[in-house]
Amino acid sequence: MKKKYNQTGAKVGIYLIYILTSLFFLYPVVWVLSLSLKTVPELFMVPPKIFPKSFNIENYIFVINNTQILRNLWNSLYIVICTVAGTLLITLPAGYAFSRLKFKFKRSMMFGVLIFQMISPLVIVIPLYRYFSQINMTNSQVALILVYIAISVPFATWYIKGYLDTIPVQLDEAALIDGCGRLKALRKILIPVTIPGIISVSLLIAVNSWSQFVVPFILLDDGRKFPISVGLVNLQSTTEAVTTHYLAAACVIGILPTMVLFIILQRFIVSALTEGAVKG
Amino acid sequence: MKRGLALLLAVVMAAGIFLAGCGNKNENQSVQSTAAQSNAAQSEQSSKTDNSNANVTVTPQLIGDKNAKTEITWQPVPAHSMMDSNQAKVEYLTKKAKEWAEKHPDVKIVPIQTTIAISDSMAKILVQAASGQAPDIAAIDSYIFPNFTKYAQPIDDIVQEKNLDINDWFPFAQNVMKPEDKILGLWYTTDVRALFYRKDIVKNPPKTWQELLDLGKQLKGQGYDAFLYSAGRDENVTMNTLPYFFGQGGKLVDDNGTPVFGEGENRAAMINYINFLKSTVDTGVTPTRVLNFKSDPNMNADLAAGKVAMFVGVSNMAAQLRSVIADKFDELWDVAPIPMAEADQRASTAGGWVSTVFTEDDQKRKLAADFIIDMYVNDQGMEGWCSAGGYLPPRKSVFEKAEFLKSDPFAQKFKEELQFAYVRPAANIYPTISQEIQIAINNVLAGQTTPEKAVDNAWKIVTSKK
Amino acid sequence: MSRETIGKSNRLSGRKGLGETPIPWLAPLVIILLTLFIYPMFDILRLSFTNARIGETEYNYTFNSFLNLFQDSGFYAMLKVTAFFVFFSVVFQMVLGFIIALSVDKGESMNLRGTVFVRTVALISMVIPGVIIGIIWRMMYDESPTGILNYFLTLIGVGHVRFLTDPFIAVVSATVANVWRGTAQSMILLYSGLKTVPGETLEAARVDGASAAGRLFKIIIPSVMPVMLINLILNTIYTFNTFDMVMTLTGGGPGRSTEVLALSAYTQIFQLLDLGRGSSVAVLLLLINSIMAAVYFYIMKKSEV
Repeated sequence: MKKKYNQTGAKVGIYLIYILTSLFFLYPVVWVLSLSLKTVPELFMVPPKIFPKSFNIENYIFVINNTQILRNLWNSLYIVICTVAGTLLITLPAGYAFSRLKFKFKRSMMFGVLIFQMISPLVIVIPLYRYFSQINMTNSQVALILVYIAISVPFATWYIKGYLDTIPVQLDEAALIDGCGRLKALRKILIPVTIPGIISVSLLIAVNSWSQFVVPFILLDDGRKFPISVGLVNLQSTTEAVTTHYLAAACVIGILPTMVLFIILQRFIVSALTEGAVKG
Repeated sequence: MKRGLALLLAVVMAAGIFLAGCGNKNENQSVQSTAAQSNAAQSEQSSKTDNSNANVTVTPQLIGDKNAKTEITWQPVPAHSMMDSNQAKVEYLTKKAKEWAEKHPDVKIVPIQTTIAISDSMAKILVQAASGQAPDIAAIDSYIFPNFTKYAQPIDDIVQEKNLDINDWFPFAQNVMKPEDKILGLWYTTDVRALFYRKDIVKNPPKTWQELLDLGKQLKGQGYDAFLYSAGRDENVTMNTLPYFFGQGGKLVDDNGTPVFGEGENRAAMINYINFLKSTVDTGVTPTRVLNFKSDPNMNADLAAGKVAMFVGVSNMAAQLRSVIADKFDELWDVAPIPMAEADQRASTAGGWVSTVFTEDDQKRKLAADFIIDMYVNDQGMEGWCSAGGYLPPRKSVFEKAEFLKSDPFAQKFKEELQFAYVRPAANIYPTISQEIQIAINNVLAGQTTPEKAVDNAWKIVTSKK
Repeated sequence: MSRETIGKSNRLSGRKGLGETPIPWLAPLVIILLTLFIYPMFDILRLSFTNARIGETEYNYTFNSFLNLFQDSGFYAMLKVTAFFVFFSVVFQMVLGFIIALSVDKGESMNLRGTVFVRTVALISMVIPGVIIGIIWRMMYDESPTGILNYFLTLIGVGHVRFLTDPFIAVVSATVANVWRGTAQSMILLYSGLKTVPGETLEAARVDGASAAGRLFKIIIPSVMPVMLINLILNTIYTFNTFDMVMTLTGGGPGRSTEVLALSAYTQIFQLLDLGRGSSVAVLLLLINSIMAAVYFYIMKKSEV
């Protein structure tokens, strides 16, 4: 009897927390969505209406036709895909070496790599702007992607090393004995069984790169190359008549792709995150 | 299970790429559509008569034939480019650019779109110029132009060839364009600040600070936001409030460019000026949310809501507001001189943009200057451009002759204000002074410090820099 | 492992070849870190001891940028703001993250409806770029009559709040927005930490009659302690490095009241053109990053042994 009472008490408590959590985290997003659907008179209505009356999609049409937002999204997607690919290309061999090879200073080197995870991109991007401008590489997406890769590499190396550690050594050693080179063993044997880990780490790199702001903000001057984050800052500071409803619509367009992806894949991402968290 | 998820992920990503790809394509079309529309009528005619120029394209990304031998990179301000949202400007620039490109079939101009955060993008051009990688021609905000003079190429020969006379520019522009013995830039638009007021609410616009405060308190009692201005952290804020300082005879720097604003009479004028801003907020005549306004269009929401009686803003707010509230603007609003400390004072500030050539290649230098002169500077260019964008021409003769200015009562008043306009000093230290003034204003209006302390602190920081 | 495989693996480790040395495997990693991290770090250190300005090609070596920095009263105010922002952000991110993680974990074990929904909602801010979070909260904090938060606050009798124009409240507002942003990170770390709490121990404690609070403080918190410490350090580093959200939320204003360290370095360089001084602020950030990294390694090492 007492236990039952406790259960109900716990339930009420938990639901209270659920409601407060949902309100706190969801409300700002709902409000932006609501602003993005309002007409100008509704926008200036006092007191403010929580839900728009008209569901005015024209704001979205305006933003899509009159700003670079779709191009920004495309740029972000392009940058993120290249970053993920490039990061994997560098960190798969590195993760393999840290997991399978024996060499001096291995531990110190691994910690050395992790230090870079903690350094603010702002610190490196200031000198980088100067030397990219000397070799005429500002506004270059290649340069930008290289920097993104450099920023993703420390975390990804650790994650992949950790994942490879969970795979029994016998699996690839058998292949080595059969005369495969190490590179072939990595490619043919290890990578296939590491796919879930690779996808997890790719997702995490993608989420981080999607949000990246300081790097493109400083390295790029050319509006056609901006990713979504810089594009939105530009839109916010525009001196022409972009008002709140357009900016809100642009924000919704900007967060929609990752949010939808996140909601669809949320179980998978949560498990990727928790695995990464325990290891990292 | 995991494999299934991986498959799902791959499908979703592929779908994402596909969708984004489609979207991008549409977007390209829409970007070009504005140019295409305005060209439609023209090209219909020209394509029949003239097939040799079939390769000339004018889009926000390229002007001219994409296979042309000579390439000139051009970095305009976004608001002065074909990327702007104002149709009139885009149509004008597209038409002009097409004409120029047809006359110069061997040349293509590649516009660079840049950020709208002006001081940041100016700093970046400066880094590029210092490492010899600046665009061939770029628009530079007049206040920071002195920092660029050592990289700017002289263009006296082309100015002369085009029958332009530097003495035709307003004196403030001449000093910046020709700092020593060579013409280094072309000042192509200007603007001026004034008091905008609602005719139906304010019968006699206030001439002094006291009148403004008295009237403001009365209007506030009637439920109006009596007086707005931008007071956030932005160059625009310094620009819009400095008339109060210049009107008292205050000087920011001396003739050598050394700061003097924190000493003697200048200090007193500076304190008075910030104290006046403080009293507008303290009396409630001005709401504290002006601290959030960086650029004048930040006031648009309030202005559109119809509860604002007066504001100080830049001249092109007239064109802005016409696009926001249409005919009501001319019906309701008028402009007057900015209220001053004393009735016999009068001051405003003028800003604007200077185009300057960075390329050292002689052929490109000439072509680039020729292009800018055609688009924005010669008689038709300046009149067409300023009329399209609602800007004021910095050349006196254009001001006299231009038709659109004659018919616009606002333009006439702005022209008068230009006679009393000060420009920001052509000193390298100016950006620092401006930043400190913004911070002083912010801190005082937020009630963190007194005007005296704020001015002395600004002075201390500025003098420690050099 | 059978005897045979041990023998084979011994033979293997004796094998020599290109694939056996770590150099080719690590070369790309090392090259990219050297050129894009280590070189710029030394460069910014060097610049911090100069009087370099943006747009000037010549400069001299000097200590003045640091000296001026330490003599500027605004600098100490900036440090104070940064400290406030970081401290309260991290504390509330941890506390909220822990509460949410605990209730989601409990909800899962009780098979409560809506648990997955709440878990997803709490994590959404992770996939929203910081600049957009800044813009969204700026809209929430609108101080004109159409502002939503002010409307609610007036409705419940608190009255109109100057969210972004009062110097102190602006820092609090920025901190709240940052808590919104960073709680997800804490929540997921602590949530995974809770998964490692041994169920049998908890059950045993319950049978022994330990109260809920007793179980929380005697079993749960001690066993997630290492994760909490790691979380504490990581969030501290990320918050120190925050730049994007504050930039769109307040731009550092009013005055300098929300100009945190990273933003200050940026402003010095890209608005005041003072490369030397901006670099010295960035070096300070680098120093803080390094100290936090050292603490992190120390804790990692301790928890491993």
